Amino acid sequence: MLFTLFLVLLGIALGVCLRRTSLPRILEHWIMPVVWALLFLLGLKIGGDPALMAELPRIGLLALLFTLVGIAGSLLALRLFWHWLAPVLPGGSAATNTSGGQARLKPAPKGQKG
Amino acid sequence: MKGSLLAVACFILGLIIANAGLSPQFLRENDFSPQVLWLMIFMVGITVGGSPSARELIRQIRPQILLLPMATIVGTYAGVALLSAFLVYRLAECCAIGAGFAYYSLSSIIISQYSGPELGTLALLSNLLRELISLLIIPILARILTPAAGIVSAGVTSLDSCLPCIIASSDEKWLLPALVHGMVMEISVPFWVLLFCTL
Repeated sequence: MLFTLFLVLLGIALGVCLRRTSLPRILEHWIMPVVWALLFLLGLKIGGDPALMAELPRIGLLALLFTLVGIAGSLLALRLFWHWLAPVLPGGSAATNTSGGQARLKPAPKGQKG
Repeated sequence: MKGSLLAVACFILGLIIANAGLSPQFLRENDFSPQVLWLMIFMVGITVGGSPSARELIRQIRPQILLLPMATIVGTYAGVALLSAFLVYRLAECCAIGAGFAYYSLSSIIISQYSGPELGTLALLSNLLRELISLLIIPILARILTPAAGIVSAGVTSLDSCLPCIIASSDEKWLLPALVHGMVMEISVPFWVLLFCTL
Protein backbone atom coordinates (compact mmCIF):
# COMPACT_ATOMS: atom_id res chain seq x y z
CA MET A 1 0.00 0.00 0.00
CA LEU A 2 2.81 2.41 0.91
CA PHE A 3 4.44 1.88 -2.47
CA THR A 4 1.16 2.64 -4.30
CA LEU A 5 0.60 5.72 -2.13
CA PHE A 6 4.17 6.80 -2.85
CA LEU A 7 3.50 6.44 -6.59
CA VAL A 8 0.38 8.68 -6.36
CA LEU A 9 2.24 11.38 -4.41
CA LEU A 10 5.30 11.14 -6.66
CA GLY A 11 3.03 11.44 -9.70
CA ILE A 12 1.26 14.53 -8.26
CA ALA A 13 4.61 16.17 -7.41
CA LEU A 14 5.98 15.39 -10.86
CA GLY A 15 2.76 16.70 -12.43
CA VAL A 16 3.12 20.01 -10.56
CA CYS A 17 6.74 20.28 -11.80
CA LEU A 18 5.69 19.44 -15.37
CA ARG A 19 2.56 21.60 -15.43
CA ARG A 20 4.04 23.97 -18.04
CA THR A 21 4.77 21.07 -20.40
CA SER A 22 2.27 19.12 -22.47
CA LEU A 23 3.12 15.80 -20.78
CA PRO A 24 0.20 15.79 -18.25
CA ARG A 25 -2.29 16.41 -21.08
CA ILE A 26 -0.67 13.73 -23.27
CA LEU A 27 -0.79 11.21 -20.41
CA GLU A 28 -4.46 12.04 -19.82
CA HIS A 29 -5.24 10.49 -23.22
CA TRP A 30 -3.31 7.33 -22.32
CA ILE A 31 -5.02 6.61 -19.00
CA MET A 32 -8.19 5.15 -20.52
CA PRO A 33 -6.36 2.65 -22.80
CA VAL A 34 -4.41 1.48 -19.72
CA VAL A 35 -7.72 1.16 -17.83
CA TRP A 36 -9.19 -0.89 -20.70
CA ALA A 37 -6.14 -3.18 -20.62
CA LEU A 38 -6.52 -3.66 -16.86
CA LEU A 39 -10.24 -4.37 -17.11
CA PHE A 40 -9.52 -6.87 -19.89
CA LEU A 41 -7.02 -8.60 -17.56
CA LEU A 42 -9.61 -8.55 -14.74
CA GLY A 43 -12.13 -10.11 -17.15
CA LEU A 44 -9.59 -12.84 -18.05
CA LYS A 45 -9.00 -13.56 -14.37
CA ILE A 46 -12.73 -13.88 -13.58
CA GLY A 47 -13.61 -15.71 -16.81
CA GLY A 48 -10.94 -18.29 -16.04
CA ASP A 49 -12.47 -19.02 -12.64
CA PRO A 50 -15.66 -21.14 -13.06
CA ALA A 51 -16.70 -20.68 -9.41
CA LEU A 52 -16.57 -16.89 -9.75
CA MET A 53 -18.44 -17.01 -13.08
CA ALA A 54 -21.29 -18.90 -11.37
CA GLU A 55 -21.43 -16.11 -8.76
CA LEU A 56 -21.83 -13.26 -11.29
CA PRO A 57 -25.67 -12.86 -11.01
CA ARG A 58 -25.39 -12.62 -7.20
CA ILE A 59 -22.52 -10.14 -7.49
CA GLY A 60 -24.58 -8.01 -9.92
CA LEU A 61 -27.49 -7.81 -7.48
CA LEU A 62 -25.14 -6.93 -4.61
CA ALA A 63 -23.55 -4.24 -6.79
CA LEU A 64 -26.96 -2.65 -7.34
CA LEU A 65 -27.58 -2.67 -3.57
CA PHE A 66 -24.20 -1.01 -2.93
CA THR A 67 -25.02 1.65 -5.51
CA LEU A 68 -28.47 2.41 -4.09
CA VAL A 69 -27.34 2.66 -0.46
CA GLY A 70 -24.37 4.82 -1.51
CA ILE A 71 -26.58 7.29 -3.39
CA ALA A 72 -29.28 7.31 -0.69
CA GLY A 73 -26.67 7.89 2.04
CA SER A 74 -25.12 10.77 0.07
CA LEU A 75 -28.53 12.44 -0.33
CA LEU A 76 -29.27 12.10 3.40
CA ALA A 77 -25.86 13.51 4.32
CA LEU A 78 -26.48 16.41 1.92
CA ARG A 79 -29.73 17.12 3.78
CA LEU A 80 -27.82 17.09 7.11
CA PHE A 81 -25.16 19.52 5.83
CA TRP A 82 -27.64 21.71 3.92
CA HIS A 83 -27.82 24.43 6.57
CA TRP A 84 -24.09 25.20 6.12
CA LEU A 85 -23.89 24.40 2.43
CA ALA A 86 -26.82 26.37 1.07
CA PRO A 87 -25.26 29.85 1.52
CA VAL A 88 -22.26 28.98 -0.71
CA LEU A 89 -24.23 27.23 -3.45
CA PRO A 90 -25.91 28.96 -6.39
CA GLY A 91 -29.21 30.46 -5.25
CA GLY A 92 -27.87 31.14 -1.76
CA SER A 93 -29.74 30.26 1.40
CA ALA A 94 -32.93 32.16 0.64
CA ALA A 95 -34.33 29.31 -1.49
CA THR A 96 -37.38 31.41 -2.23
CA ASN A 97 -37.00 31.29 -6.00
CA THR A 98 -38.29 27.97 -7.19
CA SER A 99 -37.14 28.27 -10.79
CA GLY A 100 -34.96 25.47 -12.25
CA GLY A 101 -31.68 24.94 -10.44
CA GLN A 102 -32.76 26.45 -7.14
CA ALA A 103 -32.35 24.67 -3.85
CA ARG A 104 -35.46 23.01 -2.49
CA LEU A 105 -34.10 20.66 0.13
CA LYS A 106 -35.26 23.05 2.80
CA PRO A 107 -39.06 23.20 2.82
CA ALA A 108 -40.53 26.64 2.24
CA PRO A 109 -42.07 28.22 5.34
CA LYS A 110 -45.81 27.70 5.73
CA GLY A 111 -47.93 30.21 3.91
CA GLN A 112 -45.15 31.04 1.45
CA LYS A 113 -46.05 30.50 -2.18
CA GLY A 114 -43.82 28.67 -4.67
CA MET B 1 -20.38 7.43 -21.84
CA LYS B 2 -18.44 6.03 -24.81
CA GLY B 3 -15.45 5.45 -22.51
CA SER B 4 -17.63 3.60 -19.98
CA LEU B 5 -19.10 1.37 -22.68
CA LEU B 6 -15.63 0.57 -24.01
CA ALA B 7 -14.46 -0.26 -20.47
CA VAL B 8 -17.39 -2.67 -20.01
CA ALA B 9 -16.72 -4.15 -23.46
CA CYS B 10 -13.06 -4.82 -22.54
CA PHE B 11 -14.12 -6.49 -19.28
CA ILE B 12 -16.75 -8.65 -21.03
CA LEU B 13 -14.30 -9.53 -23.82
CA GLY B 14 -11.83 -10.75 -21.18
CA LEU B 15 -14.60 -12.80 -19.53
CA ILE B 16 -15.64 -14.42 -22.82
CA ILE B 17 -12.09 -15.20 -23.97
CA ALA B 18 -11.13 -16.78 -20.64
CA ASN B 19 -14.42 -18.64 -20.29
CA ALA B 20 -13.95 -20.11 -23.77
CA GLY B 21 -10.46 -21.25 -22.80
CA LEU B 22 -8.82 -18.94 -25.36
CA SER B 23 -6.79 -16.98 -22.81
CA PRO B 24 -3.17 -16.61 -24.05
CA GLN B 25 -0.69 -18.91 -22.30
CA PHE B 26 1.67 -16.10 -21.18
CA LEU B 27 -1.23 -14.18 -19.57
CA ARG B 28 -2.35 -17.31 -17.67
CA GLU B 29 1.16 -17.91 -16.35
CA ASN B 30 2.08 -14.30 -15.55
CA ASP B 31 -0.03 -11.66 -13.83
CA PHE B 32 0.95 -8.27 -15.21
CA SER B 33 -1.90 -6.42 -13.44
CA PRO B 34 0.17 -5.00 -10.52
CA GLN B 35 2.75 -3.44 -12.86
CA VAL B 36 0.09 -1.98 -15.16
CA LEU B 37 -1.81 -0.70 -12.10
CA TRP B 38 1.29 1.08 -10.77
CA LEU B 39 1.79 2.65 -14.17
CA MET B 40 -1.82 3.86 -14.21
CA ILE B 41 -1.68 5.26 -10.67
CA PHE B 42 1.51 7.12 -11.51
CA MET B 43 -0.09 8.54 -14.67
CA VAL B 44 -3.22 9.61 -12.74
CA GLY B 45 -0.97 11.40 -10.22
CA ILE B 46 0.87 13.30 -12.98
CA THR B 47 -2.36 14.41 -14.67
CA VAL B 48 -3.89 15.55 -11.34
CA GLY B 49 -0.74 17.48 -10.35
CA GLY B 50 -0.31 19.02 -13.79
CA SER B 51 -3.93 20.04 -14.32
CA PRO B 52 -4.23 23.86 -14.57
CA SER B 53 -7.96 23.63 -13.83
CA ALA B 54 -7.21 21.88 -10.51
CA ARG B 55 -5.04 24.75 -9.25
CA GLU B 56 -7.49 27.38 -10.51
CA LEU B 57 -10.36 25.62 -8.76
CA ILE B 58 -8.41 25.26 -5.51
CA ARG B 59 -7.92 29.06 -5.50
CA GLN B 60 -11.64 29.66 -5.87
CA ILE B 61 -12.76 27.17 -3.23
CA ARG B 62 -14.59 28.54 -0.21
CA PRO B 63 -14.12 26.18 2.72
CA GLN B 64 -17.83 25.52 3.17
CA ILE B 65 -18.18 24.12 -0.35
CA LEU B 66 -16.00 21.20 0.77
CA LEU B 67 -19.08 20.03 2.68
CA LEU B 68 -20.44 18.91 -0.70
CA PRO B 69 -17.79 16.17 -1.23
CA MET B 70 -17.95 15.56 2.53
CA ALA B 71 -21.68 14.74 2.18
CA THR B 72 -20.87 12.25 -0.60
CA ILE B 73 -18.12 10.61 1.43
CA VAL B 74 -19.91 10.47 4.80
CA GLY B 75 -23.25 9.45 3.26
CA THR B 76 -21.80 6.71 1.08
CA TYR B 77 -19.83 5.22 3.97
CA ALA B 78 -22.88 5.38 6.25
CA GLY B 79 -24.95 3.57 3.61
CA VAL B 80 -22.45 0.82 2.88
CA ALA B 81 -21.67 0.41 6.60
CA LEU B 82 -25.36 -0.23 7.21
CA LEU B 83 -25.44 -2.68 4.28
CA SER B 84 -22.37 -4.51 5.59
CA ALA B 85 -24.37 -5.57 8.66
CA PHE B 86 -26.44 -7.83 6.36
CA LEU B 87 -23.58 -9.18 4.22
CA VAL B 88 -20.74 -11.64 4.66
CA TYR B 89 -18.15 -9.02 3.70
CA ARG B 90 -16.17 -7.12 6.31
CA LEU B 91 -16.98 -3.46 7.01
CA ALA B 92 -13.63 -2.33 5.56
CA GLU B 93 -14.28 -4.33 2.36
CA CYS B 94 -17.72 -2.75 1.97
CA CYS B 95 -16.24 0.72 2.55
CA ALA B 96 -13.54 0.02 -0.07
CA ILE B 97 -16.28 -0.80 -2.59
CA GLY B 98 -18.19 2.38 -1.72
CA ALA B 99 -14.96 4.39 -1.79
CA GLY B 100 -14.89 4.24 -5.59
CA PHE B 101 -17.63 6.92 -5.72
CA ALA B 102 -18.29 5.91 -9.37
CA TYR B 103 -14.56 5.86 -10.22
CA TYR B 104 -15.02 2.25 -11.29
CA SER B 105 -11.75 1.74 -13.17
CA LEU B 106 -9.28 2.74 -10.48
CA SER B 107 -11.24 1.37 -7.51
CA SER B 108 -12.06 -2.03 -9.04
CA ILE B 109 -8.47 -2.59 -10.15
CA ILE B 110 -6.97 -1.65 -6.78
CA ILE B 111 -9.56 -3.75 -4.92
CA SER B 112 -9.04 -6.79 -7.15
CA GLN B 113 -5.30 -6.57 -6.45
CA TYR B 114 -5.66 -6.32 -2.70
CA SER B 115 -8.89 -8.22 -1.96
CA GLY B 116 -9.33 -10.62 -4.89
CA PRO B 117 -11.32 -10.70 -8.15
CA GLU B 118 -14.75 -11.19 -6.53
CA LEU B 119 -14.62 -7.91 -4.62
CA GLY B 120 -12.96 -6.26 -7.63
CA THR B 121 -15.90 -7.29 -9.83
CA LEU B 122 -18.38 -6.11 -7.20
CA ALA B 123 -16.59 -2.74 -7.06
CA LEU B 124 -16.53 -2.48 -10.85
CA LEU B 125 -20.25 -3.17 -11.26
CA SER B 126 -21.31 -1.08 -8.25
CA ASN B 127 -19.34 2.00 -9.28
CA LEU B 128 -20.33 1.63 -12.92
CA LEU B 129 -23.99 1.44 -11.86
CA ARG B 130 -23.51 4.57 -9.75
CA GLU B 131 -22.50 6.47 -12.88
CA LEU B 132 -25.33 5.04 -14.99
CA ILE B 133 -28.05 5.50 -12.34
CA SER B 134 -26.82 9.05 -11.64
CA LEU B 135 -27.09 9.92 -15.33
CA LEU B 136 -30.72 8.82 -15.18
CA ILE B 137 -31.73 10.50 -11.90
CA ILE B 138 -29.80 13.81 -12.07
CA PRO B 139 -32.62 15.64 -13.95
CA ILE B 140 -35.20 14.25 -11.50
CA LEU B 141 -33.14 15.18 -8.42
CA ALA B 142 -32.52 18.67 -9.82
CA ARG B 143 -36.25 19.16 -10.33
CA ILE B 144 -37.59 17.77 -7.06
CA LEU B 145 -34.67 18.53 -4.69
CA THR B 146 -31.63 20.53 -5.82
CA PRO B 147 -28.88 20.15 -8.46
CA ALA B 148 -26.54 19.55 -5.49
CA ALA B 149 -28.33 16.20 -5.01
CA GLY B 150 -27.33 15.21 -8.55
CA ILE B 151 -23.74 16.23 -7.82
CA VAL B 152 -23.43 14.06 -4.69
CA SER B 153 -25.12 11.16 -6.47
CA ALA B 154 -22.65 11.39 -9.38
CA GLY B 155 -19.58 11.12 -7.11
CA VAL B 156 -16.35 11.50 -9.09
CA THR B 157 -18.27 11.70 -12.37
CA SER B 158 -19.66 15.15 -11.46
CA LEU B 159 -16.34 16.22 -13.01
CA ASP B 160 -16.73 14.46 -16.36
CA SER B 161 -19.47 12.18 -17.68
CA CYS B 162 -22.30 13.52 -15.45
CA LEU B 163 -21.23 17.18 -15.73
CA PRO B 164 -23.18 17.93 -18.95
CA CYS B 165 -26.27 16.34 -17.41
CA ILE B 166 -25.89 18.40 -14.19
CA ILE B 167 -25.54 21.65 -16.13
CA ALA B 168 -28.35 20.79 -18.56
CA SER B 169 -30.76 20.09 -15.70
CA SER B 170 -29.82 23.27 -13.76
CA ASP B 171 -27.68 26.13 -15.09
CA GLU B 172 -24.04 27.06 -15.56
CA LYS B 173 -23.82 28.47 -12.00
CA TRP B 174 -23.58 24.88 -10.83
CA LEU B 175 -20.42 24.29 -12.86
CA LEU B 176 -18.02 25.35 -10.10
CA PRO B 177 -19.63 23.27 -7.28
CA ALA B 178 -19.75 20.25 -9.61
CA LEU B 179 -16.10 20.67 -10.63
CA VAL B 180 -14.85 21.27 -7.07
CA HIS B 181 -16.81 18.25 -5.85
CA GLY B 182 -15.52 16.00 -8.64
CA MET B 183 -11.94 17.20 -8.25
CA VAL B 184 -11.88 16.60 -4.47
CA MET B 185 -13.44 13.18 -4.97
CA GLU B 186 -11.03 12.24 -7.75
CA ILE B 187 -7.99 13.18 -5.68
CA SER B 188 -9.28 11.36 -2.60
CA VAL B 189 -10.44 8.07 -4.21
CA PRO B 190 -7.01 6.35 -4.44
CA PHE B 191 -6.30 7.20 -0.79
CA TRP B 192 -9.69 6.00 0.46
CA VAL B 193 -9.60 2.76 -1.53
CA LEU B 194 -6.03 1.96 -0.47
CA LEU B 195 -6.85 2.77 3.14
CA PHE B 196 -9.84 0.42 3.33
CA CYS B 197 -8.09 -2.32 1.34
CA THR B 198 -5.34 -2.51 3.93
CA LEU B 199 -7.56 -2.36 7.04
